[in-house]
Amino acid sequence: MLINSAIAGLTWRQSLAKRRWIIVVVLAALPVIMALVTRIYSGNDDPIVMITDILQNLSVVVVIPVIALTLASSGFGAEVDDGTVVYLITKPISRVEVVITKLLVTSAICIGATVLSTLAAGLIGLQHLDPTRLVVGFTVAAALGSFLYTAIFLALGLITRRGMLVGLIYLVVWEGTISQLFPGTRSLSVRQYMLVVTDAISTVDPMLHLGKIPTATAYQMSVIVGVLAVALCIHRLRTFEVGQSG
Amino acid sequence: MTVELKSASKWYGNVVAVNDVSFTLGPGVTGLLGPNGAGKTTILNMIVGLLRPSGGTVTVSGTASWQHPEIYGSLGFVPESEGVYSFLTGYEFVLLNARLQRVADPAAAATRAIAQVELEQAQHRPIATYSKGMRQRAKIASVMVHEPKVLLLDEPFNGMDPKQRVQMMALLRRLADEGCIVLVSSHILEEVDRLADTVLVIIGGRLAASGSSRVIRQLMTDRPHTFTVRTSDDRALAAAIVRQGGTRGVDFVPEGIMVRTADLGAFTRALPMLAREANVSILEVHPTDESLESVFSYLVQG
Repeated sequence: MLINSAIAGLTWRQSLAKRRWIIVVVLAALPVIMALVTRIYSGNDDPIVMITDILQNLSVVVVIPVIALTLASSGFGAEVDDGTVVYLITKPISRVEVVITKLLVTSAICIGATVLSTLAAGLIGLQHLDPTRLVVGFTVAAALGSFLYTAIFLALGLITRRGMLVGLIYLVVWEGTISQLFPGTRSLSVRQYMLVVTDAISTVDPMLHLGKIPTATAYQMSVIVGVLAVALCIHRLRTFEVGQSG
Repeated sequence: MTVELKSASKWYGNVVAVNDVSFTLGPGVTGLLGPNGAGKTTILNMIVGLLRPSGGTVTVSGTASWQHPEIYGSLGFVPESEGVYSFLTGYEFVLLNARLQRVADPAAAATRAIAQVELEQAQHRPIATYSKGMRQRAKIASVMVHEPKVLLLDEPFNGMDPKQRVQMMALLRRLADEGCIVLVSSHILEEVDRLADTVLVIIGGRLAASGSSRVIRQLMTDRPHTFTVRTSDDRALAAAIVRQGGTRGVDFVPEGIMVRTADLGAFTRALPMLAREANVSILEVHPTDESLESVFSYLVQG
């Protein structure tokens, strides 16, 4: 049994407590609003180009990672900070169960928000159904990105007390700057995995070539990064020691 | 069940937090007494498996605490930290702990534990609205849901009013009488004295003294005491005290006279009589070295 219903319920409430749900809803609404505005004011511009712009530059770059960061910040990092993690780990429950439950619930909320946001924005922007599977591609990418980002940010919360800051630095400095400048670093960018997945699923002709790494690399690295992040969470929680005090 | 520390130590780099501490706990209330920063919390955290001992062993019923979550089925720990899931109500928090402990009927266990700490009236309010004492009681209820055989509490009376303290002490005594091992850390002598059968005094990460509450109290009261006494005629009283004997010295200080005595009981009984015989009115008696630090430093020297 890898899912603990008590931890699942707690994680659900924790993730959306302290008005965090408002941040999630506002972020998820952004691409939808942009798609609506674009649809109203775009005139005769190609809807595929416009919706690709919105989903690539707003959803993939900002909305998906920041929602994941917001939700994951309520996870282990916050619990270690305020000491509540003690109530979870002084129970006859395996640490694997704690990690897997927290990861699945947090990422499920993230996936729910980002998938709905991407799907709604995409279909509104296209003005019709999705014959080229562009929106489907972005939606699957959103689910993959949500899971990976959540796993990474949960692990960061157990590695460092500044997990949120390190997460932001990863997004802005690594994915936003370094992997743009140095092609060799792109294989460690969740953003690239999402774009490659979108490319692979969509049938837009000519092909969009959003991702800049080989498809096989993106798939393999997605699995490696996901497994490593989960393994790191489990290892850190197993060897967790409370801070030194009186 | 037993809790056993054998030469347990914990250090962080060059800083030694706990140094070569050994003791065995059996049923009853044991007080872990020491000033702030003495290492009490570190010892508790090692027993609970939240810290890996740097040296020695820490076991609960023969099982090492570190990395053995199965011990938590019979162990409850109330940390000093005030951190609780403040968005939950008291009842939800206690129920959560009952479910995490996988007790047969979590709702009944939560209701029973809340009744034990007398938190029924506030149980459906979010913990964010609780006073410090109420939070403390919610925390204690949360670890009693599975009726643990070993109960560890880090400074549990912080923030409780006197009535709540008395109730909580009665509850812990009752649990101990039922065969539970209760370990309570505190930096307040009177708390431990009133509650514990056995006292472990921790100073500077070491076990400085241990024994029954009576023995420790004796150690504490037999030490030299210093009083400042302000009277209507300091000189006359000082002469009477010196004539009487039994004191280690009398000095004149700006506030009156300072008396050092080895026998606290005899001195406090004799003082009113001496004052009456010398026809002196006592205006103020003020113990000058009653700080916990002075008591502890005496014990360390001892």
